[in-house]
Amino acid sequence: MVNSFMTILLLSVTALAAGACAQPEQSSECAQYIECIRALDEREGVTTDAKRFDPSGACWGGPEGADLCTRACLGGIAYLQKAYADLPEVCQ
Amino acid sequence: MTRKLLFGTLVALILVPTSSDAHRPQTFDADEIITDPTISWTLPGTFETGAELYEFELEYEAPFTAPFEIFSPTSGGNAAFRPRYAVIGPGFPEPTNDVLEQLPEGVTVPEGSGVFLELNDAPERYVFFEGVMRRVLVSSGTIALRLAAGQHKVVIWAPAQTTGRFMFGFGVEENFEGGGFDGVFENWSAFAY
Amino acid sequence: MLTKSAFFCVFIAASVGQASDNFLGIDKRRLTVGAPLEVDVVGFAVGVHPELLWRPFSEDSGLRLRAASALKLGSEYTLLAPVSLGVRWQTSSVRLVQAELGTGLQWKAFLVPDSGAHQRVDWYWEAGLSARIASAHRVGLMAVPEFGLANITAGGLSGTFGLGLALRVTWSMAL
Repeated sequence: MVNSFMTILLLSVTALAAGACAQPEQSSECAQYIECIRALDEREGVTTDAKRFDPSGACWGGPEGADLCTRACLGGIAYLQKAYADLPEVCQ
Repeated sequence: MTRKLLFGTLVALILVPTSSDAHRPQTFDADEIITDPTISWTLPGTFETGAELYEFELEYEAPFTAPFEIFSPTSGGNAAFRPRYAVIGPGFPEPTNDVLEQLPEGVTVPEGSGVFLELNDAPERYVFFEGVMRRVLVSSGTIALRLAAGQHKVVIWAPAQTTGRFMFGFGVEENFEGGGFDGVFENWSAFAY
Repeated sequence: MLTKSAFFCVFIAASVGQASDNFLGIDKRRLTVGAPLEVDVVGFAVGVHPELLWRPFSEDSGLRLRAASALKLGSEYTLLAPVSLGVRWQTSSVRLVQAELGTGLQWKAFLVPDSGAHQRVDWYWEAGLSARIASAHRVGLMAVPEFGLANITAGGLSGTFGLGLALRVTWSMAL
């Protein structure tokens, strides 16, 4: 009886722990934001440290970080569009 | 059988990827507020009179982009508080007279610098549950800012002498090395409920 | 739904109390029910945390398996913990004062207005003392540190870190 209970409990926990772990991918919003940043970089002859938003960046380690970065990229694009008149086409 | 399952459970728990995306806590009275501007930080503050001004500096060797936002903790009737902030530095648009008028008294924009201004006045604000300390915060709106190489100043103030509590957050990469939790327990009420 | 979940253990207790010597094939003398009041001091919330303890071994054994469910109300969110499963070790119940230590996993959901349900699995620990006030009844105090292990999201589990500390005023009844 005890072994059965423990077996069920441990199997459940193992399934929970080893089950589908969330592994988000770079969002389309951040893909566009990065494309825009790279276009601005090219125009200015600089390289912006944007590695956190890259497909292998820290943004995509978990769902909370992915949500945060996606909101940030959406807000970042909107800000660039509002604040700068002559943006590259990929920023539109 | 049970022992094997127990061992498997422990291994599985250890292997669950950890990605809490927690900011490194810091207080405004630290000798050096931001020791590494490329990692993520959170800074709490309180406007007791509404006339206070909170400031810190960020210096980048190369252009840098990361999320920025300011939160109001909702506990204690603080949800309606809408603190503002500005990032002043190279690369941002040259401030118009309207922008300059909105900056708090005494804040100047150096020659060659521009201003990013967050008035925190969106009708609908994002509600965020912060699971580490179990708090609910409302955000000014998360925004990815691109900061040019050079020195930037972040200025935080309360509009119209309003009072309340805030948390300023920026960055993504976690790094708690070298006393990352120093000051948290001494300033527990600023970071926790 | 919330009320049903939170008081599930109390219903079980009531059923067990009225039934025969067996409950779901378990000798009911091996069961203890409890209805602690609980206060979260990290993220303020207050509520009830009814529990059912089962003694799987002999009467001398201090080991109990524990199932519990909680509902707590806070100023910022409602905290629902539909299921906690764990173990608790306790000193002899013959003595007036009994020490208790436990650990286990808890599935919980923080129900935040305008933000939805934030679900996660926490690892909890228990440490407490109780005193016998009648032949089968005990009251006591318990501290419960909690550590967030994994968030449960639509995309699956993701590792997390979270802190928690609850204080309980306990009442239990051996059946």
